[in-house]
Amino acid sequence: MESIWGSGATSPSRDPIIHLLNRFTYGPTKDLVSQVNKIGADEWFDRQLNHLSIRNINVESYLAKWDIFNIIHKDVNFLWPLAESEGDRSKGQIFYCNHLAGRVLHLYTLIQQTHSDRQIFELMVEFWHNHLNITTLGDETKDGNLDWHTNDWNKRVIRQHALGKFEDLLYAAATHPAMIIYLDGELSTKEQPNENFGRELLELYTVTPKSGYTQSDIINAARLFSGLRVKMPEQWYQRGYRNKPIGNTFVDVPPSATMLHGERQNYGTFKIMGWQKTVSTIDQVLPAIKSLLSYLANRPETAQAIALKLGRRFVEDVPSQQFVNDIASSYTSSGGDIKTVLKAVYQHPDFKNAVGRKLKRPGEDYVSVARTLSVWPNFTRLQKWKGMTKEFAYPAVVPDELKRMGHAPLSWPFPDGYPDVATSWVNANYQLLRWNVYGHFIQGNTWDQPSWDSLLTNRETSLDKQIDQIAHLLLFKELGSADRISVRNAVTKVFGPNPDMNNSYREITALITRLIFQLPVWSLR
Amino acid sequence: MITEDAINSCPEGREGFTRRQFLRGATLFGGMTILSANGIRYTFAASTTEVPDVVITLVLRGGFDSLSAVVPTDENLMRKIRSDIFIPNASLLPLDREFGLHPSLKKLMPLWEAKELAIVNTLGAPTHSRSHFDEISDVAYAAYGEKEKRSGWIARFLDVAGSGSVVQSVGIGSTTRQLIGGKAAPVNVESINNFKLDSIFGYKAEDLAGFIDETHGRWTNVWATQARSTIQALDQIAMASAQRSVVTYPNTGTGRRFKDVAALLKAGIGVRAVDIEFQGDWDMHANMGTLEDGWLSSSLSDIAGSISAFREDLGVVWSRVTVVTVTEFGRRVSQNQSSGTEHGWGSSTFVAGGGVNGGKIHGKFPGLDDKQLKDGDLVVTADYRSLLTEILTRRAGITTEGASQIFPNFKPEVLSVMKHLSETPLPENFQTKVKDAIGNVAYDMSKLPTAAAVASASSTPALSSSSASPSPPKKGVKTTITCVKNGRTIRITRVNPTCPTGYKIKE
Repeated sequence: MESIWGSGATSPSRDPIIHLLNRFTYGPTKDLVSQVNKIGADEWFDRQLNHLSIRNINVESYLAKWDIFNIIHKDVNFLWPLAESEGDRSKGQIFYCNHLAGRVLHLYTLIQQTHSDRQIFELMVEFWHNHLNITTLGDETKDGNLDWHTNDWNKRVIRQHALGKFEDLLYAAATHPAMIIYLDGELSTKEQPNENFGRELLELYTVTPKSGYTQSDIINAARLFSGLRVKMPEQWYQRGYRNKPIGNTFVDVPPSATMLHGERQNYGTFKIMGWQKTVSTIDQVLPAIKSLLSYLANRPETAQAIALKLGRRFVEDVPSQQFVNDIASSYTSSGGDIKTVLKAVYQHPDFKNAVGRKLKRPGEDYVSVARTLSVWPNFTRLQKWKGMTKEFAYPAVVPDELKRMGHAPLSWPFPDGYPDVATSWVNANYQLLRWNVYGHFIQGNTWDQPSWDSLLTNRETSLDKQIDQIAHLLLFKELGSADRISVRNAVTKVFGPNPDMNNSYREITALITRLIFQLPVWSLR
Repeated sequence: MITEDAINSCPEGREGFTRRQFLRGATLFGGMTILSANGIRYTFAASTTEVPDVVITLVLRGGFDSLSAVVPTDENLMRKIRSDIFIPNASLLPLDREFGLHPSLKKLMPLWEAKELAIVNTLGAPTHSRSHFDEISDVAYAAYGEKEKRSGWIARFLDVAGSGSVVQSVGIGSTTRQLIGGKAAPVNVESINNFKLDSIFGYKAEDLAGFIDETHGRWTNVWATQARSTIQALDQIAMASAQRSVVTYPNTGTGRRFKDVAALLKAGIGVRAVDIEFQGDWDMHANMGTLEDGWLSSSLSDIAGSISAFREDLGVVWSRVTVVTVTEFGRRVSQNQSSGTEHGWGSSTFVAGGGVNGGKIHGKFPGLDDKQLKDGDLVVTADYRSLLTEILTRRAGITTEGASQIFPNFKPEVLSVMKHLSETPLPENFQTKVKDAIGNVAYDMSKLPTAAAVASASSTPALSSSSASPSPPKKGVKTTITCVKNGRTIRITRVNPTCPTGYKIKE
């Protein structure tokens, strides 16, 4: 997104460390900036890529405080028995903890984005969630059957492989129950393979239509995947949600609740673009799937597609062809190693030159405000679900707030993921909601109230100095002269020409903070 | 060729000369005034431009059971298939020989009698999956056969219409799928009173708006430009909020939503399309209630009360409004064991407004005999997109080419439910502010897909059948094909039928 600003406006910081943290974290914070200044940007970047060596203590100890997070990362074999035990059997009811689990996942995602010390990892978790988008709307997608699997999807597919090799991620995704349900693998049969997954595999996940694949390639891919099926717990079938699959040949596909159904599998010779294999027994199916996905993951068109998306995410809405070629070649030479590719993005000259070219989407805006103010979700405003033996409660209003802003975590309703260019996010409603949400944060509402004393070093008694101090906290630079006057005028309009900085300290500080969030420069990352 | 004499000799209206002659005359002679049969004075513009309708969808989520609303009068049959929930003929409000209206819809009768309400049998989607999720989204995207379903049909309508106002489309309630994905973003509100900037610590909302306007004025980018429009939209919606209404709406979520929409339209801010979600659920598997009381009855009276109050509230603006109901599917013909109904397929649709060929049941009812049903469901005899196409082309200034962009891979049928704009000139006392905000649309008579049908509906002589109808009703032979998807079969009857996406032809 191109911007021009006039003199007196506040421009984005050109400090390379601020730029790095704007793009490779959910927003720079005072502590992080001083840490990176100390160890150096390159060293920080390398440590981030080695994410498992970073202890994420703050988040982990916070999550440990609330029982509700026990359902995060759980699969259907945990959730279904819970649903039965917490439901009222005498009335034939179950407790829909799958819906609950999906919604808690949204909150969990926001907490990780806001407070995780593994910021690059979290950004890539979001990136892959969108690249391989599965909608987790909570209660309507695929009549709710998808929700049993999305938390496990988050754990075993996305988080497991976010900084690994793309082909491993792709294999985990293609064989996961969430994907099988989402793209209609459950409806696929030997005679009539459902094409949805085959099509998106080629169109969205790997080679893209530019590669010139044909309808026959789609059908062949659909045939190869036709035997994959979700393996629900025995009691689920007994309850009559669906008939138990009929047949003699079932092969488990670990690690998740997936199986191959021999009677549904289409056999024969499969030809997809330049890849060909003959599959005649059930044992040959998974190796063939693996081989196909490896072939597709390593195609040059896939390298280009992922390079383009990474450019759009980390650099600018329309990355240069040179950038895409350079990153694609890093992808190809590393065999789709995501860490290597990210490093190439960071080191590319286009990255350094792209200060202020990305608009924050609502979710990024929301999380960056929470990070700057160092606040946590407010656990006094809880939504409660009553089970048979206990109550399940959490601040559902936090993800709901983002849902209204059109950007609830993991909730885009189509397979192509949330759009990542400015024009998709520019509209009256989203803007207004964002503006009002700044007010919620400052006053403490869905998130805890910010603690000004710990955020600000000095308790300034001069209005001008307080404006400068807050500008540095939020933007790591001074306001432009005209913006500074606008902020000052706003404060004096409410608090008089000589505001009482002692008695009205909290209100004045909050108002200045709100006004700086309102500046156009805050909308950029 | 029309002359002044011709007009004078025909003071009661436009009977006696064809629409084509009339328009030619209008173009030649400039503005003219005619007194119509009901005494309203109409002024005609000098060119083929006209103020278009605001298109309003009322989304009935959950699957609307039209057999409980527009009830077949074959009482013996209805008693047989719906023993617990059938409505005796004595309770029905008569519509025509074959159908009567549920008594809870009585507030719609004045519209029916004024010919401002039409019923269309038996509309639905080309797919027959009975899945809420698939159907409600597919119906909203209305892009069957497209690989990429990334925008709703109203969003594409506004892209084609190219309106320039800040607030072009409004979604009220949680439905937005029809509105999203176009160039202009919809304004979604739960209620127009909530579309406002919060004040903070004594800093007033209008001051904050001024601050935003001032600081964003120092920048040039899409965000800053939108911010300044948003500030304007705040003013416009605030103007709408300030509209007072003396009309009593039902005290329901839906009633309040219609009241908000009336305020938006009366404020004259250039809204072209509105998506209202009915507040309530039509997924009545059980406990529908009685004739006078309960789930079904209160929901129906909510629809009727809301629409009739809306019409009264709008006054003359009603002449430029089309309200159409949308649902994901109708319901199973036979009742279930719980005095409710299961998911079905076809459904009758209500269309109300100033440009409706009203007081009439349109379309073909497929029949209720077992062999006339599809897996127990009312068969869809016309695609719902045919009706929407007609609304857009006859009432909203969209050309045939435009309609084919809005509804790709689709050839509409002529249903003759809507009058053309040229048949319903703008009333003289139509508010200038509203008129100016909506603006005029130009229409090219030679490109109207609807010419023959309009002529027949308005009792003027039919135009040449060589007009560019995409699906001339009497040309071409309709054939039926059977399409299969995952063991589900559907039958499609039309000229050159094709199977919807995902389905294969069964030979």
